[in-house]
Amino acid sequence: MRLRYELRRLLTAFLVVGLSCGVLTAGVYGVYVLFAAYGLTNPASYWFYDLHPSFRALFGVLSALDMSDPLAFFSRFYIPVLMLASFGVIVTAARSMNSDADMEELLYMQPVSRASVYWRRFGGGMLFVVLLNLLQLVIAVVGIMPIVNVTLPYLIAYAVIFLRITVYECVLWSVGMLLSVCIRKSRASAWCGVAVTALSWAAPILPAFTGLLAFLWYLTPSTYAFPEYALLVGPNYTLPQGIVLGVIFILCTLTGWLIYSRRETTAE
Amino acid sequence: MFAIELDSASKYYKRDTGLEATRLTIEAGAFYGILGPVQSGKTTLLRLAMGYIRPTGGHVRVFDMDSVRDSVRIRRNVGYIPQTLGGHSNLTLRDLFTGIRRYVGPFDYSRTAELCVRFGLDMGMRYANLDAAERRRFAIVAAQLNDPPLMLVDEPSLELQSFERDNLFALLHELHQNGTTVVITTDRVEEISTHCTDVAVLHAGTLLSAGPVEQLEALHARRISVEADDARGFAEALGITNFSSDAQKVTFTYAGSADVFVKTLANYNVRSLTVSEPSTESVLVASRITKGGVVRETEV
Repeated sequence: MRLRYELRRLLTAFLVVGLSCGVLTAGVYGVYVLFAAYGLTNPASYWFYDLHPSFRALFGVLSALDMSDPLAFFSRFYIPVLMLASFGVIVTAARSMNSDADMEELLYMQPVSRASVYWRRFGGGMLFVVLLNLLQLVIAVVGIMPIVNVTLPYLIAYAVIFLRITVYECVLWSVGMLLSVCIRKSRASAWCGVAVTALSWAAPILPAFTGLLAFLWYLTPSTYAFPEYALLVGPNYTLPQGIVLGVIFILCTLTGWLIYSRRETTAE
Repeated sequence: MFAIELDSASKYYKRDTGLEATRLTIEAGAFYGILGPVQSGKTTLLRLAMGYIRPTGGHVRVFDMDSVRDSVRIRRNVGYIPQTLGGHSNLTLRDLFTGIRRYVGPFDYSRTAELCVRFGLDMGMRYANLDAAERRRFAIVAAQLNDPPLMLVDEPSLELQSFERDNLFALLHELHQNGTTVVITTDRVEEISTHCTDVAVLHAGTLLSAGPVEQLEALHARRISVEADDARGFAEALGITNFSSDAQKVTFTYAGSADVFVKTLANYNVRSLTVSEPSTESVLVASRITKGGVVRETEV
């Protein structure tokens, strides 16, 4: 009941992010039709052929991918959509606690604790991310259906990719909420969120070139859409990746809760 | 039982003093006024009671509940009308009331509708479109959804027109007659002397005096200005020693018997007479003197 109220608050953001990603996915599939029609293979390898191997690693170009394969194509070309979605999620999260801070006086006239408001917003955010990715999964699968014959293994592969993206965006939400609690101005916190997400995209530059701080691979969103990244970081990368993300998620969520629930209610 | 109890409660902000360590009790059932100029700690006191802010020292209890530990329970028992309500929610008042109902539990919707009519609010109005006065009227209605036994009203006159103010005070008196404890903060002496049974006087975060309204003489004193043939003689006949005067006009503060005043005045050829309420400053000065310190009016 209360989460429904939170979802109502997030409805505009959901529609904007969801539909923008949907339109971009349709555009990506339009490109795929070209690949499928002309049977192009491995164009990425051509593009990156002369580059330093670290660059190739950075962009996940390890194996000769057949771009007419819908899943291979999807995992490579879904990146812009994932980028848009991740920025949409972090901006929404980074405004979740402070954009209506001027309503606090009215809100806390009622018998409601600050902690319960925090957890309700948090729950609403998790639901927002799950529903957003469900929508994207449906769009991705329905969009590819007229072009190729979608079999069960494809469906499962898509579902796993979106499950991993959901986990990543849940972590983004917790980071965004922490920013939203710490920074009073919603515009400033949103820009900080954008910067944090951009940094997460750039995180693997260091390990790609130096081999140091390998855990930074776990932070980049591309590892969630590229199944072949498993090859980069070893076959057992799911567990350490889960641990790194879990620690970030728990730390951000609990820190945000502690700060918000101890804060005093200020007048406008 | 005390509706509000401040046990050496203090509140210091980063740069300012909100409230010096204060001991104050407000009996349940009172119509209590907190008088003081701007920045005297009136709003801080209410916000401490609501649990919005934590005391730097001491304790604040509302109906024996600690304002920090039991703030949610306290707000279940308190209706609070703040000075201003911000926000840009696009929800209608009906939606907001429905949302509030989830927190406070079921309430009498017909009573809410009746109050909306009484305060000129349309349930279909969008909150974001309300002006400051409408928001205040909305706060008045929202504060009473669960019939709280304690009403805290921060500056009742703020933003309201005179008929709306009368409407609010009429409502507060109805609630008071039904057993609700009412606490208002104000910088207008006439609101205290007209409506309240008890008063606390605050200045710069310090409690100067507290008690029944009739015991605070400064509240009943009037500023008198008389123009007569022997105005000075008239003042002296009343026993006033501290007055300002020119040839035929005297101005002084009088807190004595009205009967004596009128009978004495009848002996003089009076050309003009002005009687005005005491200023907040004069009450503060009188309260400080009562407390022991001697303060000139200019120091307040």
